[in-house]
Amino acid sequence: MSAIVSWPRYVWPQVALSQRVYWQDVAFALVGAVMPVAMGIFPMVQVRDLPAMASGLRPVDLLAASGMCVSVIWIAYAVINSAARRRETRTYKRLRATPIPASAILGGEAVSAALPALVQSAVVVAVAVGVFHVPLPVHWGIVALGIVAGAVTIALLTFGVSGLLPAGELSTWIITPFVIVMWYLSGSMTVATGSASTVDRIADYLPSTAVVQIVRTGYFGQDYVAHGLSSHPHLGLGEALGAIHQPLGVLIAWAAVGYVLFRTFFTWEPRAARRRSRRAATR
Amino acid sequence: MSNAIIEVHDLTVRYGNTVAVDGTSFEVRQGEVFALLGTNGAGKTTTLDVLEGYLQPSSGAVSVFGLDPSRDRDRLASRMGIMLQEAGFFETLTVRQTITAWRRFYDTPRSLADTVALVGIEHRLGTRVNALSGGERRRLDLGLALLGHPEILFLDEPTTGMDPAGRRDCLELVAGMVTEGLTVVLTTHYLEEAEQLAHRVAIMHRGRIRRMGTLGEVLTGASESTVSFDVPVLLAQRLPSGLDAHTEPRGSTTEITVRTADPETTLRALLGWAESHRTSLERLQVRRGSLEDVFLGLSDDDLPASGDGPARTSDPIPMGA
Repeated sequence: MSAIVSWPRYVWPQVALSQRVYWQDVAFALVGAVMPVAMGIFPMVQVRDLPAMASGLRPVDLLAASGMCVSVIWIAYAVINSAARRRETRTYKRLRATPIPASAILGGEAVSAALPALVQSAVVVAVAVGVFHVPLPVHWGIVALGIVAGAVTIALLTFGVSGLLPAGELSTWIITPFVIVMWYLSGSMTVATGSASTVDRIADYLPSTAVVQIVRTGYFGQDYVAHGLSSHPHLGLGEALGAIHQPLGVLIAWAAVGYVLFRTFFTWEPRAARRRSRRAATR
Repeated sequence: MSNAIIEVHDLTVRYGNTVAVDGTSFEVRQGEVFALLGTNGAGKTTTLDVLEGYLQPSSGAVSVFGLDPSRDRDRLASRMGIMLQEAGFFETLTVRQTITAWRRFYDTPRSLADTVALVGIEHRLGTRVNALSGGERRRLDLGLALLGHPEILFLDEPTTGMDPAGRRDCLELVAGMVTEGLTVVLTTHYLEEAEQLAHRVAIMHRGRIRRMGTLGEVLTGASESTVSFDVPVLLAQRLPSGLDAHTEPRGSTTEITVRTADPETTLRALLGWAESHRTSLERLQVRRGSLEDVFLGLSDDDLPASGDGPARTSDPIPMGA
């Protein structure tokens, strides 16, 4: 069996294992399950009665689309928890003692972290459509592309950064402020985006903002990359795909950064153990 | 050597400026048990890490079944069973859930029932891993290593934490599988385990193999037996001449310890001497040269000054990682 053909055969057992372990840690699972949904829906509740903007959309419409991205950004929290914790407890080392390829272990972990995000995104849209009468997405494919590309990029970045961070619990505390800042700056929890402030200009180059721009453009069939919140022409699928080239490029660039970080810093074994090996060898 | 399935040639592993393994060479043949012994930091676990594909050597050549264990790890993994010295479990999973999850990684795994019966934890199937004793965790560890019917088994300190019965069961299990063709590479700090199980041993110290061969080869000429006994103080002065004897006063008697390469001849001479002096050799003991003696003899001159060197006791020598 070739490596490419056999890869999924190993990923799914890892996904099943990661999911089982995830749901056994009740406190962590509840936070992971509830928090992104709450943070996706709560902003919509706050703006539900505000009038339509220049684009013809209500703020609640806009937040429905970007609310889907809250859970994608949250993937960083789930990945860092498993990557740092399993490294420190040497569970990764044990997994690598089996025939599962190293890439399938991490792929399975990433898919396991992304699965709840997909469900959470669907819940946010369902609530938006059912409760706040938000229209359904115009270009489903672009919405899906934004979510998948965002999930892959954020998972890769987080695995890369995990090599620089200490043990599991501490790593989640360190990464949480970054997740919150990305939520806020990306526009996933606010309607404000596309302004000319320095912070917003910087935010345009964050992976989280790129995900929101792609998903909003696909959801409404309007250009939320170049036009911000101003008046928007309707875009066909081809035009919408053309409109998202910049945020897609931003995601690809961040994915490349994540890959370099991963190759440079990711370790399968505890950082302390590597130092101990060096010390033991000097005796 | 035609049937060598592991070939290590001039293996060197460096961590920065420090050398963990320094030009080590050895072979492991099909169906044999090869034991690596050594003090902390001797390089045993680092050597195993290279053989298992976790670590790339700084220089030298290593092959397992003719493949590079690091580069060809995915091709080799299904043929290897690995029992790590220190590796975590998913603590919240039960034994059943753990084995079931691990079975999915193999194409033709042992059944759950067979696995738990093999390592004697069938009564713990529903127990969470974090509630298992240290010995039970090691049994589970061994069960997971054997799940894929490996052709070669790497055991890194396999019985640490096991009670005597567990150790015996574990050794019997491995010995039984070796008779069926399993090849084993073992590190242990219980020297009697190596004596009981290994066909060949290598003694590592500071990254180098200091002595290697069959147990007989390593023991022959490198160790002496000891004959010890107590005699009345006055007779201790009249021992036969030519003995390498050490005396230790013990009240009205003296403990005599004689080191000899030929214990039978020495013992005959001592018994004749005792009869001629109308006395008996109280608390007579004859102890053959052991692997422990060999190890202590080899490393006596340059053991680490810290407390992690071998202890001179009859208990297992603490020679961990």
